Amino acid sequence: MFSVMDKILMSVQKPVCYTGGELGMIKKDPAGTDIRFAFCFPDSYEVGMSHLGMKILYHLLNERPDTYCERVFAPWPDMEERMRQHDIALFSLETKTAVSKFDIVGFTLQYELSYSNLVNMLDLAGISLTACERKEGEPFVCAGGPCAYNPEPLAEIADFFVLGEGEQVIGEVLDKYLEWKRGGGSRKAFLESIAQLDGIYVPSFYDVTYNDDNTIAAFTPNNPHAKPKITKRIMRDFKGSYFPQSLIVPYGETVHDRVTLEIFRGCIRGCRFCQAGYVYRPVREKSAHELVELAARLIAATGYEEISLCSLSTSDFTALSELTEGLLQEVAQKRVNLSLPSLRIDNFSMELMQRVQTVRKSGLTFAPEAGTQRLRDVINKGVTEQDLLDSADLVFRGGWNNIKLYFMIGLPTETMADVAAIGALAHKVRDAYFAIPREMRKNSVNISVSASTFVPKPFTPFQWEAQDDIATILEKQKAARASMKSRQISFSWHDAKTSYLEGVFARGDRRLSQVLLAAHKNGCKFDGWHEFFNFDMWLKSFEQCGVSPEFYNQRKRSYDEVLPWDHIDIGVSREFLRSESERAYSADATPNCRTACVGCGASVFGGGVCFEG
Amino acid sequence: MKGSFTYRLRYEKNHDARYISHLDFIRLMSRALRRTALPVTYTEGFNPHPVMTVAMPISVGVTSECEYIDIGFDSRLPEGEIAQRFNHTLPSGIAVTGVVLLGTDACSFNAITSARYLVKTEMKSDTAPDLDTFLGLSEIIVAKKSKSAVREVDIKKDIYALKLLSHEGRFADFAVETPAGGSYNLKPELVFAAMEKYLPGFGIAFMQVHRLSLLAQGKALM
Repeated sequence: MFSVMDKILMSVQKPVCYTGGELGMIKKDPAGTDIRFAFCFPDSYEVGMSHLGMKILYHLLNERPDTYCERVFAPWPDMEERMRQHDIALFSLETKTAVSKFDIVGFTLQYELSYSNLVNMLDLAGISLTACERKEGEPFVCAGGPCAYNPEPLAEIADFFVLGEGEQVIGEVLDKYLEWKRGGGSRKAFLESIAQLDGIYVPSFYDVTYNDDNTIAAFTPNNPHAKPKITKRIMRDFKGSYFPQSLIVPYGETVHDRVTLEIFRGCIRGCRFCQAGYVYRPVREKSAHELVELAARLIAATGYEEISLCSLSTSDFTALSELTEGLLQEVAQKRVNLSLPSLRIDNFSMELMQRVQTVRKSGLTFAPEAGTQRLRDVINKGVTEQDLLDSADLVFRGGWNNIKLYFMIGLPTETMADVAAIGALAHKVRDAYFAIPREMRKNSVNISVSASTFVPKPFTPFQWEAQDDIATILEKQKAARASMKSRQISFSWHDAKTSYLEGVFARGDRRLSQVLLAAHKNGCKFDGWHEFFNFDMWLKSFEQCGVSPEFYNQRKRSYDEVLPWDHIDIGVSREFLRSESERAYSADATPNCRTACVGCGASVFGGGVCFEG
Repeated sequence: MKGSFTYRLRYEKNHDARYISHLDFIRLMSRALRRTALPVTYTEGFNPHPVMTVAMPISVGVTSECEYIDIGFDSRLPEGEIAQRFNHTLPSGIAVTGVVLLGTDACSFNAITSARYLVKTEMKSDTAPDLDTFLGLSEIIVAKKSKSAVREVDIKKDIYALKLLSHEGRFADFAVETPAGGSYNLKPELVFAAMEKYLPGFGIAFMQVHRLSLLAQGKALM
């Protein structure tokens, strides 16, 4: 009379995360399709449904009549408990099919701290946790997304990885899958057939040997179909590239609950700490015209009350003025809001923000990242103190009285003087407020300073650096805090322990797969959520596996060490990253892609900013 | 509602839509309104939102066939078109089942006095509750949560109707009518909590509440 699911859903915090059936959900008859693809996001529904890449790939895959792509998210622990209690396996939202029944199970890797959820989801699905245990008849498990640029920590878990932008290559994989399914070969035969595609990496086709000091000695293909180097895939022509005509509109509120317009991919800036700034090269833009048209269509289809621009640096969009004019007309007509993140403050953007209703007079964010000019030059953050103070002056005169300042602690070459300068800079910004005429000031001013912990990432000039240990980070956080004496300045900082773990997995090798499995056994999940993060359990898991986390996060590498991700080619060359690393030590700035090409290597893809001129 | 025409929509909220909370539902309706492209009236000011009022928030998990929402439009529209445009764009489980243009004599949502429910239950035993004994009690005290506190209240006078509709094994269906509205509201769940308290051996393992009607002095709202 009542189903088990009825009873369960009434007893969990957020039942709407498990029902599916939202507006815009794709409905198909599974029996009428050849390939069932489970698109898995290893975090909660609210986080996963905010993710742009999933929206694109979900709708793109479902454009294929032979494929049904369905969504799967990590159930919140209250739901997981009940599912385990009632023997309910992880299921898709569209048709409530057990994930183990799908042909391909694909995970997107957005951050390292979601890896334990990935393992837990496989476990909940009843799928073998490692690639070598997986039998005929089980789904193929694959992964993609930004963290897949260093796939090694998950090498024993995933059957294959998709490197770079998935739009084209995923279709090629499905074509190969159909061929394989019709031909009826072994699992290995399918993996061999896709190993030949650009952008596909099958970790079991490679052997790794180690030196006595635990560094990698060699990385060699063990299968004739495996390429020695795997090159990432990109959409060379981003103008006109696929974007869904409608989106799923969730019942409950998600993290980013709006229409997101991706205006370009990549970044011209080359901040040396920023992985996204290198792995998404070269910069490729959409046209203002197609974006305005898309915005109109998506608002009509979804009814969303907000449009947000998405890119690594909105101000670098070449047709920004044309785009915002078009969007402002559209939003006025439909009574929706326009949100403009990552905007550099200048006269143009100030005028724009005055015209955009959503930018409430409460908060604007700046990211100087470091307190001293020297350190900003080290990281190639092309912002001077004067730039910041000029922007602050504009902002305060414009009527804003809340400013957020983002910094990083633990950057290479950082001294305690650099850390103390964070407070000094915050005070100068505050003083800029009192420097404007009294009648232009609001009642009060509030400077919120936030400091995250720097984590060295693969494919950046800092990929060889040691990460600060926890004690040093805590000491620096304390010093930064002490450098802020004003009531009008507040300070918040990141948990050093989560950054520690992030640092291990960011630059880890395949020996971490076993640690991950041990941590899963020990109950680790939702590590990105402080209420679930259990650092001691992670340390215990490392110990059980005889793996030292410090080897990965706190060790400075020499330039000639074989790095776990050296077999992956992102276009940007290792030589370039090394020269950028050396320039960082001499605090030399490197111009952005539009000022001068510095030959990073990304031009091999034959498109984007490299061929603009 | 300046210069606008107010329409009252009756809608149902069934199946998985029952898990949508009140706040999420408001957001859902305002998005649905934008999708209909109907000339809805927006509030003035910095952050305009559609002029609309929901009759009575409904608890998460409760289904209903008679929810109401008043929406202001800038111009007169055929009732049928409003219903059709909504039903074309609402997610499954929510459907508009009636639309009327409100006149000046329309009954406001403040006039709602009671609601009727169909309550399907799975009991902990096969024995149906002895409703005569229950309704014959001199007082029925339950802990009732208000916004600020939990108070012990006597709900005997609030049980306008309580009938056993069917009973088979551990499953029993009941008809219930209790006070509803902004000033005083009693959820049917509390009536069953009281039955568990006063009737030895009676227990509810699971219940599904379905709202059948919202009434103003016994009369439907449209």
